[in-house]
Amino acid sequence: MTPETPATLIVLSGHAETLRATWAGQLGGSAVRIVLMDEKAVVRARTIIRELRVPGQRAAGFGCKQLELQRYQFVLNTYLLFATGRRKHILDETGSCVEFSLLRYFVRDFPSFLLELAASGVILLTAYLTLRVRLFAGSRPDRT
Amino acid sequence: MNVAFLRTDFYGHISVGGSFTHTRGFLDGLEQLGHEYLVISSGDLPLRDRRRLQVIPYSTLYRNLPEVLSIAYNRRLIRRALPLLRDLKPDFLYHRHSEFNYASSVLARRLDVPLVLECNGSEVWVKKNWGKVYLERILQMAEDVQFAAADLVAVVSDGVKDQLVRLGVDGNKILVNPNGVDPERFRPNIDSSSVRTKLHLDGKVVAGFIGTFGAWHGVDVLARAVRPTVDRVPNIHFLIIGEGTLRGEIERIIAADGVEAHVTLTGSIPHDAVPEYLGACDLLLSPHVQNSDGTVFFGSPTKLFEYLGMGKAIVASGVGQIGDILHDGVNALLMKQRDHVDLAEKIARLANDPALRERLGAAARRDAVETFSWRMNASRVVEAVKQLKRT
Repeated sequence: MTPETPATLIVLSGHAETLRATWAGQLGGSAVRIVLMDEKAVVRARTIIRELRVPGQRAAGFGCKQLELQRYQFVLNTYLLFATGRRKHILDETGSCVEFSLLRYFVRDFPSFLLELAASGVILLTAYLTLRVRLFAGSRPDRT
Repeated sequence: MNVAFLRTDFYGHISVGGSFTHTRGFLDGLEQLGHEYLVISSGDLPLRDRRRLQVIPYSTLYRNLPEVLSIAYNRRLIRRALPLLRDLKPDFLYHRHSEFNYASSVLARRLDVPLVLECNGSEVWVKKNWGKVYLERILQMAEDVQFAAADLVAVVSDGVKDQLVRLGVDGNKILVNPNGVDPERFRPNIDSSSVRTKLHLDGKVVAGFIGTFGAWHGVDVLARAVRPTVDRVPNIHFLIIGEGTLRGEIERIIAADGVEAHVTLTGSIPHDAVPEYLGACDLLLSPHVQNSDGTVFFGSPTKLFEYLGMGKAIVASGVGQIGDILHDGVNALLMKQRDHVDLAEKIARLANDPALRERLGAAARRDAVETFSWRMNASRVVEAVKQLKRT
């Protein structure tokens, strides 16, 4: 496989050209095919997986403005599970990059996601009850 | 007065865009008036005095389900901010309203201080019209709690006030407080020769725009206006400053019209560099559009006030508050909203008439200095709080 073998980068936020240049550098000069997609489009599983499954490509990844603030990383890693290519990344404009690891996905990310699901349920229930009580106790605007 | 300023949205570090300009302008205004403040923020802010900033970041646990992270932030913020605020003993809390956040109503009650809620639009409306709404019931309940608990709701325009009144907020506690400008930073005759040289703008008439490419900015109208403007004024050049979700669409329109050579897209630039870039322009553009649901544009674009301060000729649509501030042929030329040909004609008229540019610019500058400044903006809030405390 030559360095010219394309790689696919789905850009969810940030500057596409900066991300292209950053990732191309990390991949050692690969041509990068950019797919622009809104972050909210992560629910479109079939579309995303189709974009990531390019026969013969060297790498696949997601690009964002700031990795630290990028949501849905478990979902993105799940998509990378299905991507073709030997190297799979989530990266940001500053060059921060997380390389997909099958071991980490199953040993760390998946259990963390289950924990997040459980904690989120508690958070939602608590917030709902708190707000109900506060609205019951105080005056509330009359939305019509 | 001692003010606690809360910023609670999930955007991390911000240093560009209208929300940042508004925050920094308001804080600068407080400082100029001799008031003390502490900012408690979910992300970093480039404040001049770092000792006035306490960052309480969002939890990293809730990142894979929509909106839960914002809801979870309430408990974290209350727990961490309460001791800070007990030490600070603020005279009032000033909270920039954000989605799912109701922490400031809890904090204000526990501290027994007035709550000023700065609301730039209902988050329920914003999510429905500019995003995607999840957990709508909780979003609405959180907003209702905040609106009910706020002693004063500061809004940027009559449009936002009307929207909130329709949602049941008591109009008597709403203060309409338009955005402003620092007329010392945004002023005429800034030396922008280095920008003009760097961007190869010498010998061209430069039409500028700055913004975050939001749906309401009308940047697609601006992009479509390039071709007809070039047809009328061959030496025109568009300097488009900023970054945002619609950038790809803008690039596509410009490429399809074959006018790439007449446009420079700078991307984001540091806020401190904005006056120099605006100074490199001969005229400035604000082609805002009405809301997509047919309601009146309710924003108070910070760029507009900065344009006024620069003393440049402006072409703008007269939607919402813009039409209250700009008057056709007096301090700007007004275009028909969403009409790129009309925009092109107005740009061409200004490009070919330096005397008109000068006259409109001088009137714009006068308005910026005499009527709009961040100092006045902060002063209106402080006076309203004093009034609250008297009653």
